This record gives sequence, structure tokens and C-alpha cells, in this order.
Amino acid sequence: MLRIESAGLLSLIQDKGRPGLRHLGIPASGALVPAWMRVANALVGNKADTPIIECHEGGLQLSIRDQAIIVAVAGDATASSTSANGASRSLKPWQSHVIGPGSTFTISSSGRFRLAVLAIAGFSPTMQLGSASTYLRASLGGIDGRELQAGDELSVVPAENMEAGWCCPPLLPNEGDDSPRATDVISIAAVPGPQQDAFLEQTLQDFFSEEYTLTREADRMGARLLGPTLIHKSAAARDIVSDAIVPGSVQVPGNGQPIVLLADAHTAGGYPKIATVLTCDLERLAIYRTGQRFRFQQVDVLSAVTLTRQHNKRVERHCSVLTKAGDATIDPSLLMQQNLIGGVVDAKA
Amino acid sequence: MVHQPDGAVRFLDAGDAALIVEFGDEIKHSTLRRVSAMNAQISGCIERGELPGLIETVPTFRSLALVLDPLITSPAEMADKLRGLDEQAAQNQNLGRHWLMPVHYGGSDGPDLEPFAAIAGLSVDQVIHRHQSVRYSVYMLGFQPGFGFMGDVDESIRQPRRREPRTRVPAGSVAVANQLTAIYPWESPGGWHLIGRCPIPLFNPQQDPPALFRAGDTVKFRGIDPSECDELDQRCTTDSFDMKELQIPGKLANQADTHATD
Repeated sequence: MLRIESAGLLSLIQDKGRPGLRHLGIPASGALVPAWMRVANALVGNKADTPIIECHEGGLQLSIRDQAIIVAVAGDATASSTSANGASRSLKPWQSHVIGPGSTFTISSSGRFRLAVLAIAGFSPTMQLGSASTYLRASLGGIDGRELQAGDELSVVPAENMEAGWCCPPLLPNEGDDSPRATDVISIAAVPGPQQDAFLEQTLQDFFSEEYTLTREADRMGARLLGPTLIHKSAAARDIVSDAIVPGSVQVPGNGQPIVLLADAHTAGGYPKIATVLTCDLERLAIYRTGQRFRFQQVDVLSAVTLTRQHNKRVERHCSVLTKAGDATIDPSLLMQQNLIGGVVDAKA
Repeated sequence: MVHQPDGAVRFLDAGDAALIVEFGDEIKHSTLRRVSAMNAQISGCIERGELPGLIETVPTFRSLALVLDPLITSPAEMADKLRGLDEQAAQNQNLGRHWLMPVHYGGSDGPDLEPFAAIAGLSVDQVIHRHQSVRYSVYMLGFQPGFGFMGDVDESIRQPRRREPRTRVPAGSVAVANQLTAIYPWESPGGWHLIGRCPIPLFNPQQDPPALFRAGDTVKFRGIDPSECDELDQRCTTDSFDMKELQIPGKLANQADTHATD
């Protein structure tokens, strides 16, 4: 059993979501960065779609009661644990760690990204409508339909083989390029439509060539971007009869500033949609910070599907080549509990 | 796909994991019937496993969105399969349920009723009567979980949305705007005219399905007095109200109702 000592800014239980209910006005929700969910789960020996905790910024602290747990964090997080006797150690992301009973585990910061993903071996939260994913607007999933709060207790089915120390390289959107310049302008692939006809030809060209900057108004529902005004063909074209929205839809309201809709977005809306971002690139709008510059890259539907499938293969490969960390972290308090020397006789008996 | 005379169907791109089948660009019953028919047909295909990779369909006023898994299928593949469907085939299916929803009109439950009537040049009673006189079709659900857009409201009581939306519309509010009427399942901001309150919860995650309405259902409203409203409030809170009490058999629903026609 784990207890939440502090939930930080916002910590939400998520999994692969609850698809199939959009016709009732319920979005699928789910982890904003499915790739990180899959890798973190692989590191702790969970199935790929085991629920995780999506930690927005830092400040999440949990205490481990009676049984040791295995955790792994995906992201750029600063994490640590403090054992019962007060000894602290820092815990690297992209690696699984055992944390002994009586310890506390903390994610103090999500680092250069807006969130980090925490996987716990055997995490088994309650499901609602087929998913543990939290959708706050309708109080679905999570803990009683809400985000984690201090005092919450999380149910973990302890793993049989407490094996930690698995690690992998970071899995980041800009594959293979860690240089600082690589993230100056992040590319976001998108397919024009469904309402590209509502915009001037020049506007479409601008959308796919100019830079757009992430504003503060970015959350699980969507990301508002700031950039050159996108111009509708006419005043009438600024609104449409409400139509379906999917994650990735890029709405352009009358003010000409694009909004990319994400996992918790409404299922329908009345603004024309100039393009749809590829599912594999949505994570880029979820992790980078305010002020990040983006450029939309135009692709056709065929290429879009190919790119998404390639991304999936990449994540699969990443999850399948875990290695044992050289400095596999051992929790001293756990070590103390083990009876390493058997058959000791009381000399005084 | 066999085209209906009411306008050609268009396939619109919506990224790698969705496809929009567009039937038109207006809110009207004939389009709703086409959307419903295709939705019913495709839903049948999904159930029979004939469209692997198709996760769900989302009917809207004038389109059907197909949400798919790009690892299994693709929008192009899905469009090809749909072209073989005959629009005519499912036209006569009517799978919608018929609801009779209680509403307490006016007072603090319908703060916009009086000004709304005044603008319409009608008495409050006339507005209430005309709102109750139509058997509405649920065009689609959206905006909030369980929020059904219903139409068409009698022409004499059609008004555009309020110039200033409210920051807080109470849950259960019965509202009208333009040709549509709806019940807000949740408290939220809103710009529609609030004319009454319905004590029946439209969304309950403990139920399957969790929303009361779905696209293609029909809804009629019946006015109730405050004491019946209180009683229903009570019964709904203590979970001793069976939603089936609100359903009307198809035959009865079709008798002597004023259907809104195009």
C-alpha cells in the first residue's frame, strides 16, 4: 500500500484511455505521452497499458508502507527516495528502482518538460467505464473521479520477483539529437483538413511554414499557440456547424490563433479545423514548455499513417532492449531486512 | 457509396487516425436520418468484426466521424470499405428510443422564460406550450458528456443565443437557442436561454451506457409542478427512479405528435 504524502501541482492516474464513448460526449482521455507510459511500464515489468501516474511538474511524494515497490520514471525528472533511517539517494529516470518499506519517494521536478510519467510495478487502481484514466470534467476515473490528493492510498499488487535495475536510454521526440539547438524549433507533422477550405491559400502556406509558440494556456484539453494570424476566407467561414473533434484537431477561432486539441478535449466544436496533428506527434505539445517554438510540417494521410507506424515500432524497439544498469541501485533498508547470513548460533546459549 | 439526392457525401481528412464522412452543412432532419442510417450500418459492421481497426463512430449534425487505430488500418482503407456501403440499405432502421422528460418551467428554474416570451411576442404559457408540442430528435451528443442537441424548436420560439453567456448554468437546466433545445447535464458556462429545469440526471458513470440519450432518440417535454419536481429530485437522489419510466414505446410516440419537418 502506498500513501500520497503530497500530490504536487497535479498528478493524475492515466492509462490508454476509454475509447468508444465519444458519441456520448466523453473523450477517451488517457496518457498524454503514451510512449513514456509504455517504456516506464516495461522498466518495472508491467504490461504496456498498466495505469501510470502522470506527474505535471513536480512535488509528488508518496510513502511506502509494508511492502517494497519497484518504480520507474520516464521524462527528465529529478527523483529521490529517503529510507526509514533517513538516508537519501537520488533516483535516475529511465531506470527501475526498488524502494523499501518505510521509505518515501519523491519527484521534486519534471525538469525541462512539463510532466513526467511514474510507473509502479503492479499498480492496480479502480477502473471506471473500462479505464483508470482521469477525466476531471465528468469526474471519471482517477481516485473518485479526481486527481491525486494527500492522504490517498494506492493499491499495488506486489510483484513476485522484485527485480529492478533495468534501464534504457531516454526516449525523446527528437530522436538521436540531444544538442541544445535540436529543440529550438520543434517540428509537428499535420495533415491539412478537415476544414482547410475555410482558409485562404496563403494562410495554409503560412500555417505550414511559420513558427508558432506555445502559450501558457496548455493543458490536457489543448495547447494554444501564438503566431501569424490565420485568416478565414470569410466572416461566415469563422464558424461551422458543430462537427467532431479528435485529439490532434487544430481549431482556428475568429482570432486566428490555432489551438491543438488533446486527450481531454471536447468531442465536438464549432470552429473550423485547418489541420490534424499526427497522433504520434501530440506528445510534443504536451511536454515542451511555454515559449517553445513549433513549426507544422505538412504531410498527406498516407505519410501520416506511415510515420505513426514507424513511431510505434521505435517505441516497441526501445521497450525490448532494456539493459541492466551498471550501478543498479540497492536500497540499504531492504538489504538490512534480508537474512544474508544463515545459521548463526548464539555464542552465549 | 450510393449517393442520396440530398447532396453528395464527402470524405474529409482528419489526420492519421480519423476520417470524416460529411453529408451536408446544415442542421436538418433529412441529414440526421442519413447520418443515423450510416451510423447504424457501420455499427453493425463493427459488431460483426467486418471493419478491423475501426474503434468507434461519432455522429454529429451533418457528419459521421470514424475513429480508427492507425496501427491496424488507415483512413484510405476505411474509405475504400465505406464506398461499398449502400446508403439506402439502413434507411428504414429506427433504433432510437423515445423519451418523455419532465420539466419544471419558469420561476428560478427558468430565469430567461419571461424575457424570452416577451421578445417572441408570446405569453409565457404559449412558449411553454410550443416547447412541449414538438417531439424533438436528438441530433448528436457533444459539448459535455451526455449533452444532447435536440431539434427542431417551433419557429415562433427561435431566438439566437444570449448576447452575454452565463458563467454558470445550473445542471439540469432546460435551454433553447435557435432551432435547438437541450438539457445541461452539468453545471457549466452557457449562452442558451434557460426556460426550465429537468430533475432527471442525464449522466451516471455507474450505468452502462453512462448517458441517458444518444443520437437518433426522440424527446418530448412535459411540464410538471414544483411538488412533482421535488419528488423526482428525491427519487433520483436516492436512486429509486428507474429511467425506463421515461421511455415511451415507438407506436405511442409516433401517434399524433407534431413532428418537426424540413
